Amino acid sequence: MSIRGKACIAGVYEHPTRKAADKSVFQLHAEVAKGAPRDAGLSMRDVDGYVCSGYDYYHNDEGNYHEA
Amino acid sequence: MKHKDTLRGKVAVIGAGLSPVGRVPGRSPLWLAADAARKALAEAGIDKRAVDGVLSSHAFAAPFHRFSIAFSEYFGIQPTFSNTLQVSGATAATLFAVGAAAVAGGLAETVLVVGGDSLLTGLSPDLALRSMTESRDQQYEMPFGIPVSNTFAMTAHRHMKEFGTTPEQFAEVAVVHRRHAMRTPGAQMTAPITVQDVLGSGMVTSPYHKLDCSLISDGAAAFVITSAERARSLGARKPVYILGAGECYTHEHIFLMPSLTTTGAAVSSRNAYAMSGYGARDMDVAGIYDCFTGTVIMMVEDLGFCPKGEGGRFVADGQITYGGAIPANTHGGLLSFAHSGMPGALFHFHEVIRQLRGECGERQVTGAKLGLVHSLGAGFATNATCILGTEDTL
Repeated sequence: MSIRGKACIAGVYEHPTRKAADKSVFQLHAEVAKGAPRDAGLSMRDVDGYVCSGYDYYHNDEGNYHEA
Repeated sequence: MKHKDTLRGKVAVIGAGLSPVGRVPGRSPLWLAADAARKALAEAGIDKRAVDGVLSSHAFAAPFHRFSIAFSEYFGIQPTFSNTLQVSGATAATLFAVGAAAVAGGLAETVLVVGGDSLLTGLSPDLALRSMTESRDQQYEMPFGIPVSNTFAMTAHRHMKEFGTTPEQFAEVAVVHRRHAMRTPGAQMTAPITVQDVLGSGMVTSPYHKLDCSLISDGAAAFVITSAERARSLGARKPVYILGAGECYTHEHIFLMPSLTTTGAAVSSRNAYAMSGYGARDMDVAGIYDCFTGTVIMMVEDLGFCPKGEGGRFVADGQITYGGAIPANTHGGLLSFAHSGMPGALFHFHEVIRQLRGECGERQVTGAKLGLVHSLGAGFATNATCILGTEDTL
């Protein structure tokens, strides 16, 4: 049993922004999430899973989780 | 199902362990988790060195950024697969689904699923309240001080308005759970209660009285899962198989919940049933996330045990206890056994697994072969269902 060859990367998107003072983290996530299916020739309706990295807000004592 | 190649029957639970639960002063979440893990490994008959995967939930009272890694260090193992999952109260069922996927996909051979926290004695009241309010949105919810309990209360009010569900029906859920806990060794709350006791216990967040709300507890649970083949070669006693799994995430903010009375549990359970090849009527026993009494009423509907809107009558008719359609939370649930936060629904898994192994003594549901566990969280934002079965059900 192995995942070897069972899944493939069908679309990729890297956000061109490096300094995004005017965008929230959610907006950045949304823009890249939109770009990858488009690259794959798929629509959002084809997507049934979403996994992302992000800060664990429960343990952020600063309390500024949504800061861009 | 969309996918023909599923997890069904590929992975088995071969050991389960519980720490002491309730008020357990002087024991850290790591200690509680390690205690449960030692017991689960002893039951599985394997050494901790045979564990190559560790999946855990977070712990509020041990705020490691990487609890599963901190746990592994504390426990003295160096896994080659690990993660700390976070979908609030639904985390429990996702730990089993992701663990099973890792085993079926060859990322790990033997996964320890573990969760522990000490919300009762490990957190100050201030920190406990913060943990509830800060899990809400920082811009639209938290500034107004809405704790997660209020989000669940709103759904209960809507259920009352749409379907005529009554405070007495909510209270009946608490009474049934207490009756179950009275037969469970180690349960946190075992004094008998009546519907009148619940209704007179003081309003916390309308329509929920104190006894409509789940407990705050210390405690941990752990499980050993491995491939069905390895379970057989190890000669595991009464392995319990993962037959189906499903999840559904409908919203983050309560004001964007698509329906206040039909939740993502309807979808997560439908997908889990489809994978398992069984339906609601085939289930012998269930573990249903019971953070509030009304939650159980909504869930028996969404999980397919009764039609939408009839959950109140269903529970009042004795359908969620022995002799009813679906004996649920036979250990007493979050309402009366224990609720140590994210590990809470792991206690439901522990009970359903014990039921399927026929090890529940006077709590045993006769001949239980198929069980469902549904965990949910964050004002129904997160939902995850698992279907479990004995060897006979494969």
